[in-house]
Amino acid sequence: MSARFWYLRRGVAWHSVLGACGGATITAFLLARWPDDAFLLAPALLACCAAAAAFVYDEDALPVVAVTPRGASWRRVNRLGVALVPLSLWAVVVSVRPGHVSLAQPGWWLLGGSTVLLVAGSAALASRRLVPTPGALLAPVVALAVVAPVTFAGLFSWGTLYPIDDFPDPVRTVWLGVAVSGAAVCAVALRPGLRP
Amino acid sequence: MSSLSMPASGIAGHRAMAVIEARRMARHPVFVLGVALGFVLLGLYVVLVDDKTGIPVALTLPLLGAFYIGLTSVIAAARLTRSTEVAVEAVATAPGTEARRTLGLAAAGIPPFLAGLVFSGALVVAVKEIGVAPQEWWFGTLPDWQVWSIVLLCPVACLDGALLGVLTGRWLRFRGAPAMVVVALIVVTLLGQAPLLETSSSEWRLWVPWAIFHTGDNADGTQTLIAGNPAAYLCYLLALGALAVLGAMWHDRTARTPRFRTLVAAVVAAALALFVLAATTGNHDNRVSDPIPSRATS
Repeated sequence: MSARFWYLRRGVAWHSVLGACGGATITAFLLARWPDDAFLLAPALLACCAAAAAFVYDEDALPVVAVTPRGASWRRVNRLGVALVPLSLWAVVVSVRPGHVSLAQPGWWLLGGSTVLLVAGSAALASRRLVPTPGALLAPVVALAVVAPVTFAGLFSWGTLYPIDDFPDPVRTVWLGVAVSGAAVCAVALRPGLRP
Repeated sequence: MSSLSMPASGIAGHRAMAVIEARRMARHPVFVLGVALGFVLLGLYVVLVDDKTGIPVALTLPLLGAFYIGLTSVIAAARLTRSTEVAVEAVATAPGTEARRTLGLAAAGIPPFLAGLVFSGALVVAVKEIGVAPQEWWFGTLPDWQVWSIVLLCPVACLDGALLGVLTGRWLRFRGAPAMVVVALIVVTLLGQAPLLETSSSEWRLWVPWAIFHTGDNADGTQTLIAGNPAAYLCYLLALGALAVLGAMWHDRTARTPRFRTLVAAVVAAALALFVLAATTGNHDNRVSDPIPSRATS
């Protein structure tokens, strides 16, 4: 256990992870102040949490640590646990409902959990392919991708992926699909060995 | 080796650097993805949302190009700027200064600008071919210069996105900087204008880097044109882009000559003047169109 904490404390890019979590916290305060703009602020908050998850696998010395006796699988499995930090922040914010925004909590927990899982899994997959700092590219792309569906909702009659009051079944199906994809990506990324 | 054989100073050297940076931008996967998404969504909108009166809310569509091309350009340009930092010690021994390299990097804004221009052109052509409702805010219900100014906000926003990326890459060294800048840009743009849109002071929203001029369809089938002068706002956005380049060049201490400081002050003054001009001229109040019966939802 101590070796695990020692590694995570020194190996994880905490500045990036906690910086993105700080962005999420600021956005939560903005949401409390302007709850009428939840249609965009809630996805922006999710974007920050997802960006934090993208940094979980950043490791500058990856080519060296990937071949240590303890093994790459041990490293990847333990790093996945760090994704609990942005995930917990998301869970707390949805529980608190800043500004008394009427978020359908089970749906929004699913939405955040599936996004963080998919992003962390994608970072793990990149790490498996020996990309040392996947978060540098993944974080901004994911942040943009998370907010992008808001633009669809205004233009098309497809409905929104971020429903505030009630969480319709089709939207739940979409997010369940994201969750399943995230689980599959994690399963592939956490297999023993270095490359697919 | 090609960079060492380049002229150390002068227009030819700068042009060569600019061409290299523009090519790198045009090939950047994030930028290419953003351009593809922007055009795919525009195509889907034209095909799927076309109703019997023509293309609805055409004047809001430059937002699609600005969002997908402009914001991906922020990410791509920031990464291009940071990419040379791994070789900063070697680069520092080469002829030329950081400010000069930054000026070369500003050419990374050319591909997004051209992509935005093509996007706006495609929008205008599509609307011309398919048509719009006679009550729609477009050519015929608005002066041509206002429509062109709003449509051309898209390429200018795409250009500014790339220039903001260069500024981000020069000043913010932490890994999540482009992600935080993208989220902050979206949040500031929303919160900076949303509370003002329905008020009598809506023209003061124009300080934000992407101000909307058209609300889309209202529930009664009307559309609201928000107050302000779009042509002056377009020029204000260009001034913001110039400020982003100057701000990025400011990172190089050797560039901060008295002449350069005067230039920065002049551009700041111009940006402020253009903002005031945008807010105090043009349409003084929000204008509501005649209702389009088929679009009414209440």
